[in-house]
Formats: sequence, structure tokens, C-alpha cells
Amino acid sequence: MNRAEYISQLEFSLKGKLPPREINEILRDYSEYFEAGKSEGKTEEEISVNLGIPSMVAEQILSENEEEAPQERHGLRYYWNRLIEKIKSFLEKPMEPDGYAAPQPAPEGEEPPKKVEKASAQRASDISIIKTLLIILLCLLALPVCALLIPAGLALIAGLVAAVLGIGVALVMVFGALVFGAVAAAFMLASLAVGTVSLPGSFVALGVFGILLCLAGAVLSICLIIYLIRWIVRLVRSCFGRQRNPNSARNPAYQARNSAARKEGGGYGYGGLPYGEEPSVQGDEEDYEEEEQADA
Amino acid sequence: MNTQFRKGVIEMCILALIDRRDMYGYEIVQSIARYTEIGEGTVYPILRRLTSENYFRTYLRESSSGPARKYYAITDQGREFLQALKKDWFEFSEIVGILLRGEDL
Repeated sequence: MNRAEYISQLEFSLKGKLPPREINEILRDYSEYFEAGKSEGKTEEEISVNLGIPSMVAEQILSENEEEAPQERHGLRYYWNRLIEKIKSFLEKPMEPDGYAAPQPAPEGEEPPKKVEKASAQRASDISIIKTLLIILLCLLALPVCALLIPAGLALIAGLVAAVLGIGVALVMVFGALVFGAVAAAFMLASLAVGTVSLPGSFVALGVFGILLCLAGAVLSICLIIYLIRWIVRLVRSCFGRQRNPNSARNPAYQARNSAARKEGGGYGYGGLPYGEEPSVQGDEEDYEEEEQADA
Repeated sequence: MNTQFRKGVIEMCILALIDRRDMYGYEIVQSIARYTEIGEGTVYPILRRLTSENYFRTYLRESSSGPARKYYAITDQGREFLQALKKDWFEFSEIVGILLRGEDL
């Protein structure tokens, strides 16, 4: 058979029995074999006959795979040796253009000069191992940075919330003060007009009335503040909820109702909820389960 | 030649050849096939296994005639392994020779 057929039959026999990367490497090797044979003048037919039936060759490849001693393949020493070899080949100099090294001396003698040019396919896989190790190392290094950033981020958010709260309170106070001031001024004018006769009395009345107004104003301010706090809590909970379960399908009714009041970035703002209404506790549990499932 | 012999011997031959100089796949197979009757298809799987057991490392080298070729070079581990195999082989074949020739051990 010709080369293309041989290669495809070989691939068919190996498919699913070896990792795809290894299969591709094997096919590459045999393609190279055909090329080398052709450059020596052999026909593809000859070469495929000499190699033998693809399914038999595949069987042999697979049986050799099983023969590898398990400790050789997976042992720590094995990977250690591979690492050493990798490092060595990285350190070695590129070869001269004229080809093979001089015939090497007897193995008992000194190290023969080695040549390395481009990374081999095997080394490419070794490089991916090195990349993985580097990534792990970077993650470990990044961990303390993240550990610093996350509290900083939270502190930032808390600060913003406090600022908003503070501003809200201040506004309420100012508003209250203005109102009471206006009312007090009005009353003073009125009392001046009416009560030049009963000046002390009017002052007392004004004072009492003013105190009552202040109390009312204080109560009003407190109510406003509480409302502000609840609003901010809802806002935070919606952010928090977004982090925990970004994809959970919350009650669409809420989403529809809140679409007008949505904060930037989308999500489920609760601003549209009527005052006092909280999302059901059950909804939280559902989302928690969903998140657990996603993590599993 | 006995199949069991052949397999173990082929390993040794591959190691010995590459120990002398780096070779690419086709070269190795042809060198061995020239001197023994082994099927060309049986050499590559053994070569692959020996490489994955870290006795060889490979590199690609551009060739004037066609695509890049994968060259096999022996590693330190491979050299050690070859030494051990050689020692075993010579010891073993000496004893076998003595036995077969009917000489006294």
C-alpha cells in the first residue's frame, strides 16, 4: 500500500489506545521513515512491505508500551532523570554545520561532544512540563499578593459604603436643620407679631414646640438613616450574591422588577423591592446548592 | 533466530549503534536489518520504548532531502544500561559457549 494508506491504517489501529499526542508522534516518525526510504530510492510499496502490516506494527507498539516497567514510567527517579537530561540539553551548544560528531571514543573514555539544534518533540512535551511547574510556582508566589489585595478591596468597599452612609446622614441632618430652622424662624416671627404681651410665654411655647419639632425631626432622621442602611445592606448583599452565584437563575420576577434599578455590571439589584421585603431564604439555599454543585 | 533472543539483542544493538553516533530512525532500522533478519517494523517500537525509558533523547535536525529528521542520542542512563547489558551478554555467551562446546565449566 502507499504511504498515506499505511499511515492512516496505523492511526486507526492506535486510536484510543494511546494518548493523541503520542499517536501523532508515532505517525510523524513513520512518515519520516517513508521519506527517508524514498530518498534512498525505494518505493512506498516496498517500504510498507518491509515495515509489515500496520495492525501488527500497532500491536507491537502497544505491547512495548505495556512492557515499560511501571516504576520506570512513573517513578520519581525517572522524572528526576528526565529533568536532568532536559537541563543538560538546554545547556549544550548548537552543533557545527558539517554533520555528525567525530566518532565517539570508547564509552569508558571521556564524554563525547553532543550536539543539539532545535527542540525535539519529546523536549516539547518536557517544555510543557516545565511550563506547568512555572505556572504552579507563579501561583504560589501570587498567593500572598492576593491575600493582601482581597482585604484591601474589601476595606475599600467598606470605606465607600461608610462614606455614602455618612453623606446620607449628613444630608438628612442638614435638611432637618434647615427645616427646623425655617419653622422656628416662622414661629418666632409669628410669636413676635402676636405675643409682645406674653413674651416669656411665647418663648416658652416656642421652646417647647421647638423641642417637639426637634424630636420629630430626630425620629424622622433616624427613620431615614435606617432606610438608607437597609438600602445599602441590600446593595452589598446583591454584590455578595453576585460573587457567590453569578449564573444562578434567580426568580425572574425579581429580575424583571429590578431591571430598571439595575446597578452597573448587571445582576440583581434589589432597589426595586418594596421596603421591608427580602428575597426568600429558600432562594439563598437553592443558590448555595447550585454553587456547591458547580464546585463539585 | 529465536524471537526472545532477538528482542533482547535488538535492544542491545540499538543502544550500541546510537552509542557510537547519533542516528535517525531510518538509519538505525537499516543498520540492524542489514545484519539480522528482523522485520523493519519491529525496531521502531523498541526504539520508542527505549526513548521513553530515558535511555535516548531526541532532537530534530533539518535535512537537505525532505522534512526534518528526528535524531536519537544516547543518554548517561543509556550508556550505563548498555554497559550492564554488554557485561551480561559476554558473561552469558561465554558460559553458553562452554556448555554448548561440551567443555567443563
